[in-house]
Amino acid sequence: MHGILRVKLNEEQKRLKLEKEKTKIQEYKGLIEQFQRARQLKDYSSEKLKLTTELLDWNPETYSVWNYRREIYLSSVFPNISVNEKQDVLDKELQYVLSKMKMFPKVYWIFNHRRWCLENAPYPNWNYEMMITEKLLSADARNFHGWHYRRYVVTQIEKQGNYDLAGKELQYTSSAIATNFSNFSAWHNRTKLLEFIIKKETDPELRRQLAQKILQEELDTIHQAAFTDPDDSSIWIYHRWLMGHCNQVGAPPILSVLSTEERIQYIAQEIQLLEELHELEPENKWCCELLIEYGLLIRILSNQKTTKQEQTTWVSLIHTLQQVDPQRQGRYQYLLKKIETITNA
Amino acid sequence: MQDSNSFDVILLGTNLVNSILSSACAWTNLKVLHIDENPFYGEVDGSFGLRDVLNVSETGDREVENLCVKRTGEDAPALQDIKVEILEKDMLPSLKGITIELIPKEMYAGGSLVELLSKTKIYKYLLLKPQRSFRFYASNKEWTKVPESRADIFNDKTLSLTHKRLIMRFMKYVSSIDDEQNQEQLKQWLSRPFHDFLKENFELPQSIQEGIVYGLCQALDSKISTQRALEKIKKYFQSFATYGDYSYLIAMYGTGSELCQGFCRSSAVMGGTFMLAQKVNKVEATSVELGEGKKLWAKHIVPSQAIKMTNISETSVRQRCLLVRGKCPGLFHQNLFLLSEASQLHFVPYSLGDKWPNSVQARVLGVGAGSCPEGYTLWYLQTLECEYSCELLASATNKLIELSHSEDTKPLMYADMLIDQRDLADYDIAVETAKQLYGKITGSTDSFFQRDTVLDDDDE
Amino acid sequence: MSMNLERSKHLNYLNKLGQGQDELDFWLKEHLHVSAIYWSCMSYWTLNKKEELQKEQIVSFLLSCLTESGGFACYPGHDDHITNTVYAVQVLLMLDSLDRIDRDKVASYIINLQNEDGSMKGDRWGETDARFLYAGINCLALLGRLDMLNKSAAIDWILKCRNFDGGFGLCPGAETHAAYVFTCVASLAILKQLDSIDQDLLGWWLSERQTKNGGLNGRPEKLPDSCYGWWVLSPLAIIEKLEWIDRNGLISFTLSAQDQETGGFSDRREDIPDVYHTCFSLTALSLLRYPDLEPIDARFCLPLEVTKKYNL
Repeated sequence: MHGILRVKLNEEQKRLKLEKEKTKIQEYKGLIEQFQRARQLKDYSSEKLKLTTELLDWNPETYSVWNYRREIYLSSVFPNISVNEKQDVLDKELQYVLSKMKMFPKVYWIFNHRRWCLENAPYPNWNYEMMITEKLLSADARNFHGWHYRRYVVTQIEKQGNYDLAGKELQYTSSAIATNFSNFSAWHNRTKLLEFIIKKETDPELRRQLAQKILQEELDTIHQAAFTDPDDSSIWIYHRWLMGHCNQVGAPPILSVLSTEERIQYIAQEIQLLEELHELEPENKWCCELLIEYGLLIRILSNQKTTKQEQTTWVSLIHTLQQVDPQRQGRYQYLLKKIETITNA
Repeated sequence: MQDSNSFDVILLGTNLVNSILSSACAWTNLKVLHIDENPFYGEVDGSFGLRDVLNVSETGDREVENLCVKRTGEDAPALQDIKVEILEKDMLPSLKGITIELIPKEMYAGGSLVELLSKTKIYKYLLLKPQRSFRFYASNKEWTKVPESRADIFNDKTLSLTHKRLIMRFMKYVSSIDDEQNQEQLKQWLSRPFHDFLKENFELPQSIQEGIVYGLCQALDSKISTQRALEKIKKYFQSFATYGDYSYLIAMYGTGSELCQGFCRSSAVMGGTFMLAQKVNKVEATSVELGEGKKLWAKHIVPSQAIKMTNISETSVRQRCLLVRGKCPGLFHQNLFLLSEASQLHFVPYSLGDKWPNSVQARVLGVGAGSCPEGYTLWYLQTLECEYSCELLASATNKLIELSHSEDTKPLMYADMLIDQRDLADYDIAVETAKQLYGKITGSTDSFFQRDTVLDDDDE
Repeated sequence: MSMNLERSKHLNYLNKLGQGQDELDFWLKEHLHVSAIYWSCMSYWTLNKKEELQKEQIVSFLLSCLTESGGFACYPGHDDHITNTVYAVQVLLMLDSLDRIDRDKVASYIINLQNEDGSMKGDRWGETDARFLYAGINCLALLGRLDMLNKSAAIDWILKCRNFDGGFGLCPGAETHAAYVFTCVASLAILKQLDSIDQDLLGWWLSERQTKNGGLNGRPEKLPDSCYGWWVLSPLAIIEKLEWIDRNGLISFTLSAQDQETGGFSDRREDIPDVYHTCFSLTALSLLRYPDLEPIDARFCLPLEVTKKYNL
């Protein structure tokens, strides 16, 4: 339903189109009727697989047909064959599903059926599935079905091998980001992976060192991106995560191992860099907003009152924000009130 | 006069402009006759087999005069003679499957030609491959990545944060160049050197500036005008990521010749008649006399077209095509495990020697481009013709050998020719020229390749 | 481009929806039949034309989709699924016809789909994501059987879908996506658990979805689409921060996605309209207080009149 171009037909073209579709409708309705009859009769004979293939070729979103297909496999195919034969059958089925995925890379039912095949296969080839996720994501780096499926496959491999792939997955996100750093899906996955990697280190001192090293590297990367294209929102959302600004409940794992003084030091460094960028790009809204947010954060962490001068700077930054980003006026108004309450408290 | 000797349009010469025009006329149901005096398609846009050259050149280093390409009915100069030199006679591979383009060019993925190929489905007659602008040899004597995209700027660890910002400002400027305000400011710069424009308006580091001028613009010397340079850069960026992370497309087996054949084939499918290797005696306003004296009539006679670009000077360019043994992985962009099929390399002025103020532009084709056998590569080098152009090309060749990463890299032979710089104009200009000619013939450009495709069959 | 809502054209478009039997596309959309009934009922209702709904015809069709399991199928002869079930129950409620079904049976159908961890499956085959939990919670609330749900597990699971940016993904670990933000926030609202989320942070993420042309996207650096009018606005409405985006910009973007000739809305101006985008464009316009549209309850995506009547 998304992204189908409007083509306006004249009366003659409409008539021709309907004429052409008449036989197709009959054909399709005939198949659906056969399907419904077979279903009513609880006919699970394997000859009916062909019918489901034909129907799915017409429309891969008829979930009942996928269901029926699975029922046929479960009730009349699998019970009568050896384990190896079952693997062969499912390998062929996976090939079929793949052909559908190539045409319809965003249909839930198709992914669903693929998972069912793999979970029923005696010897699922998860590495092959990894390759498929790479194909999916190289065709569309933001396909959230693709990312979801990749996380699922990774979990399966980890379960099977009793090890984790966090390091490798982190590398994968790095290369996705090197290709296009607007890929927030990759940044998102990175937050999950880094949390895992830091939590995995049990020795407190080593964990602290690890977190510090990671933080430094991540900041370095995000600086490169921020100066390359400060209008890109995905990098700033990630930056907020690195600064621990987004987490109300407590510092995220990457920061929880640092002392408050260390955190303040990091934030102060970032503020300095943001000021440099702000000077180069005075109309960039992210710099304005984060200068305020991080300033406030330092005050909260250090438990110190805001100075009059800070307050004046923030208020003038908000005025800039209202000018360069009028769409979000309402929120900036709210932010202004928040600053007043905090500074007056 | 509805007889077999009369046509709506007679086209002379199957260069790209005329091939597109031929197809466009046939699409509008005009009666088309298309003649070429050469035995192959494309004239200067065409290519020849290595066998053709060596058959006539037994000693291997004689001038090959009968490869001169004819343009019919037009005063534009035909291609100059081709001089072939064999360097390693015993190492030459079987000559089958080696195709040398007269003037190698690439298509902009986001340009009007590619758009036309896609709209008319003529792309189905071609096998398209990406070509990347890969590296340039900067004046600091270092190989550097051409700054093609935002990702390149992000990933380049040698650039300072501030420089990244400044370069991206330039890139953003180019993408908003059509804004009124920018156009106004640009007016005073259009005919002035691009170098000065960059210096005055953007504080770019030297190497980036070189990458832009000699990489993205493929300038042959430092005199490129602001107008022409910005046109090229704009197209480069617009093309990037149209089909993948590259801006250029080439067609396997010789881009120009395949394009001409594709359009001619489409013309023939729509009813056009073709005559190759057909001698023409005389061309008049409404008639053409063939070699054997037969006279044919048409309302419109279209002679062989040279692409006219007023803002390119009529200078000669020396082009050298080398057949090289070795896969040369170092000359191609590598993505995961895949080597690209074709790439461009650029030598900045003075990078090859302090006394040489011109650049060298190189195109390298691997086996995937379909023009040479496995284990070999074809290199095309171009530089402005001058007293030291041969020395410059030899020096560039040595640098490429160094970069090639094959121990056995060895040039086996080369073919030199002099070409008219105006013939280097990009293919999209051919589409524009054909469209204008079409307008003159039919009275309007509105119906140029317009067909009702709504009801085209979708049963696949 | 007209900046007015083409009411009569949209009604015309909706009236024609059931009459496409001579077009192949009509039959290929069978899997969306019950959903389409809900979308079209909501569209009529939002346009103040609920009296044009053919009540008896709709109800009897929906009842013909009810399966032995207690769930609804997309069309007679197909299988039950939680999505069709919630849509069918929503429409039945709108048409005051909930007494035509065995509520307990439908409620236990839903309850049987809840997993131990609190999440819900779409059907017996086990696909699990936040859409289905929302469908279940919504449906149980309409049926007056919310007490049957394992609430604390459900809430825990929803909160596990939450990300650092304040939004929610389709399951724990997944990237924040506006449609899932809606399902999770609306679920929490129905369960009266809004205190457990950081509303300022969520409001920030949602307000950043507005792009330069006024439209809303579903994730950072993606194109705007008229249906995100609903997915982004409804959670903003729930946390009472609708004024955090530019109302006029969004109205004009949404209106630009109207098909001026045939009526109906599409995702973006150049594409063909469909009933899904028509429904969520109209309900979004209603949340934006566009004149003369029925108010909508953002938690249930039902007319406010209906949820008030049933004390939801």
